[in-house]
Amino acid sequence: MIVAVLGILVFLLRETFPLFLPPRPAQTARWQLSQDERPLAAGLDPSRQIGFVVGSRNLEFVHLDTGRRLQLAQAPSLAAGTAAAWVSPSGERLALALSDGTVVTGRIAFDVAYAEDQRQVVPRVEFDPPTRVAPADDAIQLVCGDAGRDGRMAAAVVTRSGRLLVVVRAQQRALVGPARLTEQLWDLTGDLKHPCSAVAVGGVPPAIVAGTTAGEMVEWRLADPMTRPPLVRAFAAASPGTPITALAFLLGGTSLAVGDAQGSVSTWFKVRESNDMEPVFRRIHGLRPHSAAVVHIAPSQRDRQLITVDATGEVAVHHATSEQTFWTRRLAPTGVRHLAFAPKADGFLALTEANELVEVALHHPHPEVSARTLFGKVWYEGHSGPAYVWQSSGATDEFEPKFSLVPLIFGTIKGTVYAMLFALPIAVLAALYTAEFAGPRLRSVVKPVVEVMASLPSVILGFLAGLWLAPLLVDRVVSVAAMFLLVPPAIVVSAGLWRVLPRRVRGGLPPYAELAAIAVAISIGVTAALSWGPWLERAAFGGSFRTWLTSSTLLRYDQRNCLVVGFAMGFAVIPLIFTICDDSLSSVPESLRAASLALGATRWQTAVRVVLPAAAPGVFSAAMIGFGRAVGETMIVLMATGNTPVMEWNIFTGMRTIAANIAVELPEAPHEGSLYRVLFLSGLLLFAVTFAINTLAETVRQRLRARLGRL
Amino acid sequence: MKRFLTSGDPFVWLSGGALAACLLMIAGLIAVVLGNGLGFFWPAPLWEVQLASGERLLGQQTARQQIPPAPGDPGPHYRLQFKIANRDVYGLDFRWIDVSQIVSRDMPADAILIERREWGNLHGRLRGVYEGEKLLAEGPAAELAVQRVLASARALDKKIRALESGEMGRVNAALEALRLESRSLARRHQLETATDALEARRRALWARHEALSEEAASLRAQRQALQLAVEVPDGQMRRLVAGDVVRMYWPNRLGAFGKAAVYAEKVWEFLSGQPRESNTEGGILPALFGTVTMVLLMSLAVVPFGVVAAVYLHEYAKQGAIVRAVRIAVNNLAGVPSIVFGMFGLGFFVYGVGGTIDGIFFRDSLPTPTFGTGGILWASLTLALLTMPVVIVATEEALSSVPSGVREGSLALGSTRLQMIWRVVLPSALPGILTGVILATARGAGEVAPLMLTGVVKLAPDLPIDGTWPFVHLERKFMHLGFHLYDVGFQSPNVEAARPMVYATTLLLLTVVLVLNLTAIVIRNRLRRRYALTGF
Repeated sequence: MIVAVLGILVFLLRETFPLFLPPRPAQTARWQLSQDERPLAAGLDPSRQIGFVVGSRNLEFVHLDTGRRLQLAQAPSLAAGTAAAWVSPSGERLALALSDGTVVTGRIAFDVAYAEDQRQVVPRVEFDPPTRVAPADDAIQLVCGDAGRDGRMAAAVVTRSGRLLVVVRAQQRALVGPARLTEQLWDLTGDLKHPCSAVAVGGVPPAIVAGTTAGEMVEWRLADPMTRPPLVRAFAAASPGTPITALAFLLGGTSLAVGDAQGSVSTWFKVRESNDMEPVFRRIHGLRPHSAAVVHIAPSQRDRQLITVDATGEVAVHHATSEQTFWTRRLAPTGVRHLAFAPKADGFLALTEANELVEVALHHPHPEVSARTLFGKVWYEGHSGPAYVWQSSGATDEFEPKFSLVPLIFGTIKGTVYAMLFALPIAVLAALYTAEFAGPRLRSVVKPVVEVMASLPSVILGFLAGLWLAPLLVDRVVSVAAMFLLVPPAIVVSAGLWRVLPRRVRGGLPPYAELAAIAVAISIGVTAALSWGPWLERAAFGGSFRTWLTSSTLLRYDQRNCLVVGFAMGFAVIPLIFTICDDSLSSVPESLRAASLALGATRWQTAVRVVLPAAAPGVFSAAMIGFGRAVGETMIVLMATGNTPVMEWNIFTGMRTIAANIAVELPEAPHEGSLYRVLFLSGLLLFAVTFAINTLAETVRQRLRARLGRL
Repeated sequence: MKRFLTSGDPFVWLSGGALAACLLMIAGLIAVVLGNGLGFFWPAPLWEVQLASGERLLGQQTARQQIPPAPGDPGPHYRLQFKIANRDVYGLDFRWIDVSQIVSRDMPADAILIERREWGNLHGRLRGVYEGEKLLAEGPAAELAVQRVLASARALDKKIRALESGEMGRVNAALEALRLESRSLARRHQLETATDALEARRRALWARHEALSEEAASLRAQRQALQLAVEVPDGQMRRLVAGDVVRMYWPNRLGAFGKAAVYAEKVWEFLSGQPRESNTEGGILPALFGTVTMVLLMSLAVVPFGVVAAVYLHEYAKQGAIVRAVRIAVNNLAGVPSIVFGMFGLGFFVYGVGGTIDGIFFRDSLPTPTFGTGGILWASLTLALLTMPVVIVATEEALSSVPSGVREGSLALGSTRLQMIWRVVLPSALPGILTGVILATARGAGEVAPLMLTGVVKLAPDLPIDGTWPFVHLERKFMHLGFHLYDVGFQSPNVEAARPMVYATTLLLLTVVLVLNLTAIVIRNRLRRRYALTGF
């Protein structure tokens, strides 16, 4: 048994543990390229088999396992020699700026072929015809491109004289006839107050962002290819006078990573500051700074990771949203010229100033998960501020999973608290009555009935709560509230009436007559509440409580809400609490009761002042065990709430608990993915909490048993 | 008054109120399930309703509701909900109608209710019976002819089914076996030598497959030809294939006995039929069967382990710190949320053990998992782990209720310890152990959350036990009453129409669980009477 418990614990730990492992990088290869030319950029295929290097006159593919050169792609258009190059983060698009002032765009594809049962990656490259962008005497220093979704391609270049030029190529779809390719060249230099030091094209919606030597960023919208991109805004992005040295859009095109000459790295995205304003870029996450100027930023194509490179050749792997920096290393003493993140984010390829090609494998499957993202407030893209969010899957590959356990923990506590509020008083009082005031015959009937109640499958309770009780309650919230107010007085009044009965009559009645009278009193109270409820609702809330609730208090009312869950889950835990309470109350020695009654105490005084304190630890442990059951209850919550991970105490809204979340998401979670492991972590949490509660309850109960045994 | 308060009686009564409330809630719950679950099968009359707008409807009244009064409007107004069926005509099964809109309503004797395989029920009037375009009978004669046509349609259905599941099933299985064989040969690089033989066998099987398909197609064409013409309330004529009729009757003509007969027939269909229309109609046999099989498998796993563990704990182990820790562990295990067991089952049994088994024994069918996906075996083992504490606690209780005099007597007569336990202690503890097993079974039958992770599905094509070798298919996914309840009640596209079905399923599950529990309680009470029990 211990083995089983430990086995579950160990297993849960084992499934969870890899979430928190640091990345394990292994330097897999270092190849020396020829010294007689100056390679500009590099990239690699998704399986990290083939890399490519953009040289000054050609494009060279390298087999990354052996270092063998595969082929040279020499396009006649590259004859002038490449001055600057840009490789898209996916490694599939190129923009080359030639020394004669033209820009050539191209596409690289990696075809997978099988020859003799061997998987082979065959690279393919094609170039578009060159576009003249700048005069031949004003050499291009920097180029950046972006491929839009609709066949559009935009490239921005910065020339030696500091001009910023943009070429936009788009398919013009005419009403009749074939699509026409249009090309427009725009000079944006006029909008710049300072020389441009970095540029990024892309994002959603498409934009051009330039960083200047004065630490300013300038943003243009890239909407219509036929008009000059309109200037949106210029804003400070670094301390004044610090040049912005690197810019890159992260996956999804919403976040922009910014590096400056002092080495600081930050990510920015657009936030709507008030309802009537356009969203503007704001600095959201600051990452661990470098000690020297950031020269290159390589975003991942899998998640919100990025690799930054500084002027001293130090490379750092960050995760933008969780603001973690996993790994830093000085790759080359001479510096790193270009770096490409592997398309599957499982490594990178760096091109050093010493013309070396360095391939590093990174094993880090869960970069998005950290203690901070799990338990802290995180500012996600598209949100107006840091928040606790659970949203595990989205419609697109660019979706960033949000794994905050806080809403789930909150939901679990909320459901449990409401259930306990309902169950605890009823169960303890009922146990008190059974143990102290009911005769042994009544007791022998009640106990099995309560056991039957305990055995009701939770799926039945959940079904009745969700499909029967919830629609019933929608129009009867006021009646239910009235019930809680009316039923206790009705019972008290019936107690008074009972006393009026002559003693002779009372003595002749069977022992369950008292209970029957109480049941009648309850029924009268409930009926009264139900019939007066609508009247009360009209009088106090102008006809409809729900309308009143949403309009006057701005609270929501969900049909499947916490009230329903409280009832249903309360129903599930009442028998548990009842049984343990009753056991411990009835094991209080008879001598205590006899002494108390002999001293003239009434039966109520005896029960509350003598028996209950003596059995208090038992009651406590009963409550604990009930709590443990409610925390882990799955089906009732799953069926009786809307399962939305909201965080509010409003009793009229639903919630999502840890247990229900596991039931909903685990069947669809990919084996050993981040979601799978996070769910196991939440399961571990659930296990640990119930384990602690049960152990506590069990210890308390054993002590009580020992103490009562001595009495 | 003051004396009344100081006597404490009001508080005693309040605490009694709590108990009474509990009992009332249980009674209420059972009443709700009984009322809704049993009422579902009763054939309700078909009302023909004439609306003020001139529309005519034919439906069964399902609910009555007060309309929220508009301000300044005297008197309560009501609206009625009718199940108007004919989903293919109206698009909706149910409709609310204000009482004030109703001009007249009556129960026409010729109104017919047809339960169909698809599109739910059809309400209307039978006008004719056709074979192809040939009119077989019309008007009153149609009512006689229809029974004959239905019978022949059913016979055709039976033939088609026998053909498809019998011979064609065997041919398909042979084809799949052939595919696996060729993959296995390819893996061992012996494919070339066997290609021709394999190809010949494949061709023979395909020829057989083609012939059978043709036969089935001709039978289907015959079945398709037998049709009924039914006039729906708005005057349209609908044709429907006789083979798609599950049951038809004239509800307004039925007397009490006739209704009882329909009732019994529907209950029987519910218990023994296959589900239809994404589980919202028809029977729940696969779910019932899956539940029973799963619980039996679970008991097979839990009983030996649980009993042996309890016997060891109680009879052999030295009562010390370790045993105390084990007891706490057992109690803890009982308190671990069932969903955590489900996670363990998924991660350990399904992905861990199942994945390994697939890797070793079922390499040819990979990447399609055989045991590496949820299945009845893994679900049973998970539940066995979950219910283990119940068995252990009950067995221990039963063992400790065996008087020590009996043990000592046995030992004094020279028996060994094992003999004493096996021949003396266990037989007298048997009722107690049985109680534990029954309680575990009841718990297992009602548990759903862990199953959702370890192999329960909304619709399983095959039962876990059938006539194909090796008869018991432990790797198959299965259906379960509790999950059926959840799925039909909450995931089904037509919750309103599915509701009666869910109540009926609830009733069945509740009955199973309650009967098991009451049996356990009765056995235990007998046992208690036999041996005086002390402590709590």
